[in-house]
Amino acid sequence: MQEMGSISMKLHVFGIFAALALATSTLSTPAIAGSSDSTSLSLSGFAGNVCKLSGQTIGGQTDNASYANGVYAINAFIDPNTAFPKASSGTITLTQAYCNYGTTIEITSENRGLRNTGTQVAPSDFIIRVDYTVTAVWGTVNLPVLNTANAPDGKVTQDSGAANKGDIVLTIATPSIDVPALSGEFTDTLRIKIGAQI
Amino acid sequence: MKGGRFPVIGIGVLLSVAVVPNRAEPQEVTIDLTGEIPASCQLTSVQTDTSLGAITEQGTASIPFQVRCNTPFAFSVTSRSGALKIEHAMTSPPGFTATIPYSIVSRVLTNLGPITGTCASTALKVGAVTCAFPNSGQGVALSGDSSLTLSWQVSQIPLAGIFSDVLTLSVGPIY
Repeated sequence: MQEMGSISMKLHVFGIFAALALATSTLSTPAIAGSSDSTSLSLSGFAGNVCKLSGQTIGGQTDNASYANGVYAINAFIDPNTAFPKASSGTITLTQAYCNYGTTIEITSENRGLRNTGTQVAPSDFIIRVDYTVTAVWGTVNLPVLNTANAPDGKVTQDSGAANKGDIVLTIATPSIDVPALSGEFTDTLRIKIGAQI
Repeated sequence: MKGGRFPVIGIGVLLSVAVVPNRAEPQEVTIDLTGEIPASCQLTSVQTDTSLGAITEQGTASIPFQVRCNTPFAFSVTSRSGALKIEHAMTSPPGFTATIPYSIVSRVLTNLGPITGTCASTALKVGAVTCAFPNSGQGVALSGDSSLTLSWQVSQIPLAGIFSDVLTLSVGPIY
């Protein structure tokens, strides 16, 4: 009987150990994940190609010319006694123009010079077109001089090479000519474009 | 032969006496049971790639995630570049920027309520961290709905291109 009692007690204790072992095993499962955690996440955004000519356009130093509200006017276009065109010059500044990528700047004379707007046929001794030059710089980017007399397409372009920001300064100059100009209005439109071709 | 029997009977009686007391006395075994639940903290449901879209104007973006932590915990974030940085190496001309710093507002929900904190990305750059998000105090996170809200301003013109950064989120027991 003593052996029986002893055997019974051993079984009882064994049963408790087994239950304890099972319980420990079940509770320890979440610990597999570790006590700390760390993870990485990637962020990305983009900046598209942007060009802006949103700054002010202001007139600068002039000689026999003036600028206001987008119109550059030559004050005394001809000598009233001879009808010979007089020299003039002036600067126009487009402030803080920029492109955030490498691109081109293009300046175009639509009429390839100042042209008489009249329809009359000019006698051979008179001129109906006055060529002029535009010297331009965009920040640190210098453009070739636009001379309407020898620019078949009336324009010059320059690659900026990289993103560029700065004032576009135009210096316009008309020469004096010893040939009388036909009476009438002489006009041209100068276009300044920055950015990729549309 | 008789003399030889008595010793046998006597032994039998002695055996009987020895067994009876064992049946009557109670026996008791006391066993103490102890268990330990280890501290466990996890980050789940993390959106590992977040597109911020166009960043040429100011903007915000929210990144959800979950924290599960069965003990008071600390939460930290580091930034690889300290800002959104243009991916291709480029010298930034005057007037332009190749980096866009941003701010991070963290919101981590605990059983005691949300804990929030704000750090600038520049203060979270790996190796030069100078800003810390608050820990959970005595709180734990069971469901742990949480988020990071990123905000950025553009003070200079961003160069054209892809801007990126990598954030590393960490959570672990305080104690």
